[in-house]
Amino acid sequence: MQGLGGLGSWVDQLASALRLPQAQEYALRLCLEEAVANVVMHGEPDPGAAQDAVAVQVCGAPDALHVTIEDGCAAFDPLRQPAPGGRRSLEEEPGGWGIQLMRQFAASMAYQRVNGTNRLTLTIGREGGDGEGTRGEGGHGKS
Amino acid sequence: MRMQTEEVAPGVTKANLAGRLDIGGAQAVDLPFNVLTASSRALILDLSEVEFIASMGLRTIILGARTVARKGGRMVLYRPVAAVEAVLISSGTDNVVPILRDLDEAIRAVSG
Repeated sequence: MQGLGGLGSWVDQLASALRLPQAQEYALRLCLEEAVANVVMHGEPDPGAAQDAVAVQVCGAPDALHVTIEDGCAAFDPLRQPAPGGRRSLEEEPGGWGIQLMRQFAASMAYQRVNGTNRLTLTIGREGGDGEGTRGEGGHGKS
Repeated sequence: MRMQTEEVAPGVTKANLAGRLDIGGAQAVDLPFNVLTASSRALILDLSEVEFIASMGLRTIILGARTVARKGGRMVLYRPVAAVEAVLISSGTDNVVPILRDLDEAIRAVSG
């Protein structure tokens, strides 16, 4: 997969191959788009990075998808970002909802900093969005 | 991502979006949508054929509604599918751009 432009068609292929329910496909598409876009648009370069690409792995299981997204940008734990408040005005910043939407659509999220790499792991249930499940949080320091 | 427009009442434009309002979709529709919002004071954004939306699509909607509002106009969202509506509600987008399911009501809302 190269570039954000290929992400949508890659999810199409996955959804077809794994015969994902519609809600699970939606949640997968949303979480991947938000996570990868966050790295590409906001990731701060790390000169000592082990990798300069975003690596995505999706493992299908009968009850859930297990998604891992890794990047070599500076350490960034999305789970530590405050949730935005409800929008009250059109004049507010129009973005900033990606992480909150991931929280909603993933059954669980966990972050680890491993050997200079950000590793975000997501579990996406067959029922898809509005997951209010457990949200694990992994180690935070460089190892 | 495709966009077509029609006049559904005097001075009221309905923009019909179809496809995925993901990053690629938002990029594809941003320019024509910006042109439309810059010239509209009463705009109904029909989302009934939009199958997906994420934060970049929300941004497109918010910026469009802001452009219309700054001219003293109004924009509403019309008939999003359930999954798209869930994203609109959870992000609070519906607080600032109303979601309506009846066309006459939508026309009244933007005409007022």
